[in-house]
Amino acid sequence: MTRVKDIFTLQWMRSSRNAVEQEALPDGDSNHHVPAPFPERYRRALDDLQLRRNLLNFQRSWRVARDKVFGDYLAEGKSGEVYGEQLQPEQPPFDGYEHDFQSMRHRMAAYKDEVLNNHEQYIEQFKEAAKRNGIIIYEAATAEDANRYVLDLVQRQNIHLVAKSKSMVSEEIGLNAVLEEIGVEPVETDLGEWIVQLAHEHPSHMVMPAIHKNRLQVANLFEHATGQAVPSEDIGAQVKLARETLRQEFLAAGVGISGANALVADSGAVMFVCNEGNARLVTSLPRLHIVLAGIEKLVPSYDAAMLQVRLLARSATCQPITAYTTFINGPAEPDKEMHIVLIDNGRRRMRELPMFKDALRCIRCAACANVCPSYQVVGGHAFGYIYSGAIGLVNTPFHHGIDAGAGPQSLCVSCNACATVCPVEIPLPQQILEVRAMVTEEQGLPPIKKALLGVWRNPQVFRLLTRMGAVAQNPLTKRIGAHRFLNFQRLPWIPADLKTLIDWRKLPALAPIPARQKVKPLLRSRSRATVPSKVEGKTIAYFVQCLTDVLYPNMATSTVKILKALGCKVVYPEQHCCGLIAYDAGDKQAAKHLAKQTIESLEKALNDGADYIVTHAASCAIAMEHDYERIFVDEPDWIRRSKVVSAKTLDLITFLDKVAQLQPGSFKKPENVPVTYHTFCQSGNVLNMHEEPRRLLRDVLGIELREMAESNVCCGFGGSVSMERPEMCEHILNRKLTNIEESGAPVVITDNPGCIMHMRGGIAAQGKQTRVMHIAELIAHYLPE
Amino acid sequence: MEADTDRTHREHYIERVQRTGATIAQVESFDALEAWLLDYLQPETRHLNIILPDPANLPPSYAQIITRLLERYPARMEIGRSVDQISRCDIGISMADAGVIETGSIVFARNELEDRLSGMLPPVQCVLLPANRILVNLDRLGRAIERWQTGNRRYVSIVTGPSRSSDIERVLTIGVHGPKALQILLGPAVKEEEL
Repeated sequence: MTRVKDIFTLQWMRSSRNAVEQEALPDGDSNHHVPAPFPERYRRALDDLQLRRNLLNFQRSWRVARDKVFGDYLAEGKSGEVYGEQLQPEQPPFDGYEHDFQSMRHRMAAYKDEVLNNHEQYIEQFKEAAKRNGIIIYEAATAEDANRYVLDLVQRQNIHLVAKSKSMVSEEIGLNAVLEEIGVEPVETDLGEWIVQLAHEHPSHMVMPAIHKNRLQVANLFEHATGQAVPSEDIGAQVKLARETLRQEFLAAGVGISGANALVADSGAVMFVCNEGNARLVTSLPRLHIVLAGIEKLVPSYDAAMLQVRLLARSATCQPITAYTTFINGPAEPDKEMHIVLIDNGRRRMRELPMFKDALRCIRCAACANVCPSYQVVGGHAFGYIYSGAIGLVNTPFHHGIDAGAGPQSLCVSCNACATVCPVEIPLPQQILEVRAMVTEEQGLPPIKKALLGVWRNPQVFRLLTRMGAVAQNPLTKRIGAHRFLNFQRLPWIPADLKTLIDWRKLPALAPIPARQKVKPLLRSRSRATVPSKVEGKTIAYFVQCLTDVLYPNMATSTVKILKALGCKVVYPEQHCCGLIAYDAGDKQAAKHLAKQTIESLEKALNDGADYIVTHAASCAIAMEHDYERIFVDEPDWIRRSKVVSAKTLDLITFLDKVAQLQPGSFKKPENVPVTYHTFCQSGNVLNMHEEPRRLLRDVLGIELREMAESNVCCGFGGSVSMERPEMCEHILNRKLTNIEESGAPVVITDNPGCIMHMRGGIAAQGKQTRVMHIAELIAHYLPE
Repeated sequence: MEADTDRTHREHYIERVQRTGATIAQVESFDALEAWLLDYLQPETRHLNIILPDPANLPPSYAQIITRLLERYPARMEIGRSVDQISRCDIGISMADAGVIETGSIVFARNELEDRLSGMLPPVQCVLLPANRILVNLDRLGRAIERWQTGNRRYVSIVTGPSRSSDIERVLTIGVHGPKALQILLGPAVKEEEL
């Protein structure tokens, strides 16, 4: 992608900014149809303890229910008897397809890509089929265009009351505000949507719009709306009131406006799913029915639609199917009038950008929100704009302008949990970083990130500054437990910004002697294999990682000791930073610069005879294998070179488990101290590495391993996100530290120095005693003499 | 062989329906069907207003039973004719066009508004499903929908259990805008051409 095209994208996004108000409104929300400015939404979310609690409970139970509903479907596919017919052993599952989530979402992604790669043809096919059946189609280029069309219809037919079933796209285009301006009353009939409509709010979740509300708040809203007393404890009574009240709206409305979950191209049919029954009423009772649908909703055929049905309810509400799944392919009664408004509003622009096209596969299940640690803390009003969750961070710049997307994207910690549950394989984490890069290019880096990256860019500068800092910091360091931290309490005054960074998480002191010095004597010593393995005699180039070099030399010496004990020759190539910190911060230029340096030095190491490059910092190994192709997307030669390097680059755990193949019985007998394991999010979500570290701890070392709850949920470090959004990251960290404490283990092990820094800092600030160790430190501790 | 498959299909279907929160009963003959309906509706003792499907749209074997009910209990049982009338009724009875074992669903493919509303407006939905209209899975249903839509049937609904919501505090409530209860009656087969 050339700079010109990037600029073009930004230009276009700047001009679609007109819906976004940036000035704070006097009463906060008097123009409730446009979300309040991001800082205000972020602040409000942080103050909302109930929201955080609701969302934590929700995420925990959703995860269990979602895994079960997919697990049941998988078991069904594998069983010998399906739907009353005995399968022969060699026969595939009854419907001929695999029932596992990975295969299903791969197939669904293929169906959606087929449409997106031939989009205009599928749009035409759909239009022709729909028109043949008597549907009137209108193609709207913009939100204004779509609103004008609906307004026109409503006015010409003298309609005053609109019954709406759930339509996120109607929120996207701001239809309700436009109707109200001309004195037409839109009534949301989906229970959650009606609640937020009465509260003058936007939905905070694409599937459960009122998840941030409690029953007392709902009772008050209903009482205010109906004039009837509503019991605040009795949810059944509240639903009954909604049924009776909204029933009148269905019957009186002059038009029903619905969304669409899919548009079936070869039949001209609209598909929508519902649990409450309101969508069928909205589309049946009023004489006029208008469907609002984004052009990305197309699927080729019923086969694709049925696969989407199987994936959608499972991914959204953890049901095999919703109560009502309806297909309409034309006006069903003689006097019925049916329109479909096909909306672009930035979708074709997304389609033209290879980095963003895949986001158009989205089937709006909100699974991405349901596993997001940041979303749990701040909810959908802050973690999004109209669309929330990871997909909201990606599509907001295209539907509502880059300014609307700038704030929400800053909340993503790049843990990749969303990518593991997306039923259409959207590379959400990478796309969010693309948005971050665009925002950075448009608005510049936040000052604190700019300062940080300034230090990082040049290896000599980095080393010099950290050397100087290691000396200058001495009056300001304090030992807490096993580690030294910066201690600002001695200072007479601390700027407020610095305070929010450090009062919940102590920053580590720089190591007096950096790792690159400390490993030198070890490198020189002779290797003697004291632990049997498959790698004796191999030459390993050790990648130390920038943070480890200046903060945690013990992790480096531990790693080198382990490699030497396996009988490997260890070399230390010239090296600095893999660039991940810059990529995560949105500075692609700096990331490229650092990545190129790294590729060059590791190429040299391989050319000089290294068999493998091993790093104890899983984040770097993963960045090289997975992020470099995004960083170098317009420089294919560098991608090729990076692939050669990353093919030989391994994180320590993979190296020990899969290559060295360590066996039990090779290490000293462990002390009787149980440990728990924190799965570094990238190791878990990108490498799918869950069993390997546990095998090393439990089987090879023979240590008692106590699993914590949510071991694979992010700790909240997020690279530089915890610098820019410390308030949010503090809550994510507390979730992790609570889970660790509840495991009962006094020690937590992981394989990422960033997580370790973050967790050690939080534990020190809270005065807790839990020890956080890198698995290398633990294994080195138990090396035989 | 075929009879065995039919029987296991029916058994599987019944088991799947029960998982969805709907209730299901099975009758083998038309006499039993009629008796079951009388027992369920209790027109002599319970003063419920019932909507029945229009016999003109039913297979003759089912139409006969409905016609008899309409003649015997004109005060209690009516064909759905208007939105007002249907919304005042207690039970809506309709005939399903298919059942799906995979999801425990029933499927309707009727254009007539009143026919559809009888399954949407009253609090209780009762559905007659001929046993040989059971389809194995959603893919087979997809083929059926294509056939129906070629034959100008425009509005197809897959219904699975009664209406529900967890929108308030994630507490599950059964019965929101649609029916609070779904009762399925698996009845005798209809002729091939009526499938």
